[in-house]
This record gives sequence, C-alpha cells and structure tokens, in this order.
Amino acid sequence: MKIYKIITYYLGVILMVWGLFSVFFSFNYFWAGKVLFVEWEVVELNSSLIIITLLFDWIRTIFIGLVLIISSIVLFYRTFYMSGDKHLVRFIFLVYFFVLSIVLLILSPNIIRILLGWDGLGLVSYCLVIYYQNVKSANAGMITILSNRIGDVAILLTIA
Amino acid sequence: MGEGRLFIFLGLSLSMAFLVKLPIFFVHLWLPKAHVEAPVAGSIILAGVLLKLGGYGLLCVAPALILCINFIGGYLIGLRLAGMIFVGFICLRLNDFKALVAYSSVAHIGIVIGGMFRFYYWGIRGAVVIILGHGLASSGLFRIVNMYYERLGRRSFFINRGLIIVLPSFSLLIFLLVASNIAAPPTINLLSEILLIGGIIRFDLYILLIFPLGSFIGAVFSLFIFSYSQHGKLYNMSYSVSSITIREIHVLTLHIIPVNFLILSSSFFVIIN
Repeated sequence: MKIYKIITYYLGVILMVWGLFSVFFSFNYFWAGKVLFVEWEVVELNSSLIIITLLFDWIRTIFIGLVLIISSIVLFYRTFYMSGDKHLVRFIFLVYFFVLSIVLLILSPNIIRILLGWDGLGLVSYCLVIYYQNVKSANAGMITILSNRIGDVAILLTIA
Repeated sequence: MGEGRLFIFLGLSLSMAFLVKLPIFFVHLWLPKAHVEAPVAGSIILAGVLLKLGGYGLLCVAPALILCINFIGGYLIGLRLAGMIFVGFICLRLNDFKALVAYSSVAHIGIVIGGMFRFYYWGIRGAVVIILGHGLASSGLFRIVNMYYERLGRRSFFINRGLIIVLPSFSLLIFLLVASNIAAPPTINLLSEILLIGGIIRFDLYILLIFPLGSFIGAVFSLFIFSYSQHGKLYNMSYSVSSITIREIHVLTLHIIPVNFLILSSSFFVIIN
C-alpha cells in the first residue's frame, strides 16, 4: 500500500506542476497579447470541413491551470480519504480521463469539439458516480448520464 | 396505372428485400428470434456482416431507386423514426441480454434508411460509416454477452449482476463497446450520427422534434446493458467462474480498436465512392 501512496502523490505533483505552468503561460499570453491556434483537418466533404482545432488564449489557459490544480488536490486528498480502497488504479484513471475531457472541452472553439469534450465528460462522470457498488449510486449515475445525454442530443442537433 | 403509383410499386419492389434484411420496423421480428437461437459465431456473422448487406444492397440499387424516392421516401423515413422509438420502448423492458443487443441493432442500424432515402451526400456517407461502425460495436457486444453466458450459464439480467467484482477487465471492455454503441466520441458512430442527422434534417424540420427522443432512448437501453450487468449484488450460485483469457481480451480489443481509431482516417469514408 506504501507504493500506491507514493504513486498517487507523484501523479498529483505532475498535475500540480502542469497547472502552475498553465497559469504561468496564461499570464504570458495576457501580457504579450498572444493567441496560439492549432488546426487539424479531419474531414473535407465537398465544401464543408470538419476541423479539430486547439485554441490557446489567456482565459483558456488560466482555466485549465485551475482545473489541473484542483484535480491534483483531489489526488492528494484521496490518499487519506480513500486509503482502504482496493481499486486505486481505476480511480486514478477515471480522474485523469475526467481532467482530459475537461481540457478538451475548454480548448474547443467549434461545436464538434465541444461535443467531443462534453460526451467524454458525461461518460467519465457516470463512471465516477457509480464507483461504489450500491443501488443508490447506480440510480444516481443513471440520472447523471441520462441528463448528460439530453445535452448531447441537443448539441448533435445544433451541429446538423 | 398512374405514374406515381407505378413509381411506388417500383420503389417498394426494388428496396423491400433489403429493407427486410436491414431491418425496418414491422418486418424486424425475425431478427431477435434468430439472434436468440443462434450460436455466438452465427449471431456475430449475422450482426456484423449480414445486416450490413441490406444497407449495401440499398446503395447498389440507389441509381434506380432515385426515381422513386419522392413517392416512397417520406413514408419509409417516418416509419423508421417511429420504429426507432417503439423498438426503444420494447428494449426498456426486456430482461435478456442477447435479445436486448439484437433489438438495439434494430434501433440503431435502421437509421441507414433515413440517410439513404433522401439522397443527400451527407446522408449516404453517414449510412456507409454507420454500417461499418455498428458492425464492429454490435458484434463485439454479442461476443462479450456470450462470454458472460459461458461463465454463468444464463442470459438474464437478474443473474448477470455485479460482475465488476469478479471480472473487472470485462467491465472496461463492455463499457467501451456500449459507449461506441451510443455514439460517444471518438468512435466512428459519432461521425456517422453527425452526418446522418445532417442528411435527415433536410427532409423536414419537424424531425428535430422526434429524432432526439429516439436517440435518447437508444442511449438509455444501451446503458442498461452496462449498468445491470456490472452493478448490484453478485449472483450467489455462481460459485466458480473461470478467469479472463488472453484470447477473449484479444477478440474484444480487435473490435474496440478499429471502432475508436478509424475516425482518424474518416476522410477515407466520406470521399470514397
């Protein structure tokens, strides 16, 4: 169990360092007035394009920094609060995927990327809600994912 | 015989064989019966290849069908949208895993009709993509349901419960398969759903009212597969189950990897003719 605690601290420190870097870059972008724009063309269908775009400006990077710092604190707190739990790897993977989909949601300037982040957020939050095995958490998770699904379908209709 | 009536008969007789095979609502009843009685290899071939031949056949007769499309297209799309909701409500009260997966393939693959019978480029390309994506996801679900059946001897919801405790790796795999079945990113089912909605929405704007309901119910019963099998108390009489073998992980991974990573080359599906 000792090695698991060290691993959790290590992952939390990684997230914390990323978050601080992101906040630092956000101040850098803010003072310099810079915007970073990465574009990747996935589908080109007659005249309509589906483009995956990453947009970094100061408000997005500072938001990502706060998300990463808060989730690193979650990982630190987890070592005391859930110390008797056996499925550590599952929980850490879920937290990491949650952070990943939040970051994808933040960095998206177009609606298809918002759908990608939002859908991943719904599925991973469902997995986090049903992490404990009892009927109450299963019901709560089902309500969570179905409410998220309404939002998904609405975003799909927005795309169309 | 008037020209309109001639075109109605021509279109129906051209496409009815493929519509039964697809299947459209009202003639879908052969599908759950065949899946429930078939062995696992049979139902994988049926879900992965044979149902897709219906969509392929519609693509093949499309140049002849385009004449009749103004006369029968609206009826078929309406029937399909109503059937998606009806089949969804049927699925909500099933308690058999294999029958549920079979009915869910009725609800999901039938949207090919919606894309095909308007002849918009987006709809036809979306139909091609959903043929591929649903073939991978549905056959993978049949395989994993059969793996649970081999261990517990039953297919009922009331017996396949709490399996995340004894078989945690299968829990991840069935979650990925269910997520690809409900068109979660980054699967190619999501791409197909975007393209198909773009194709269908040009038919009538009131589809915006009825399509979300069907899509939502589709997500509900797909998530029931995951939630009922992985949660709850473990079935007490299964005092010994064999562990997971490399072969089973290999089979399921070969379903999951293409359905998740083919979206990277998605321009291949929408450009090719």
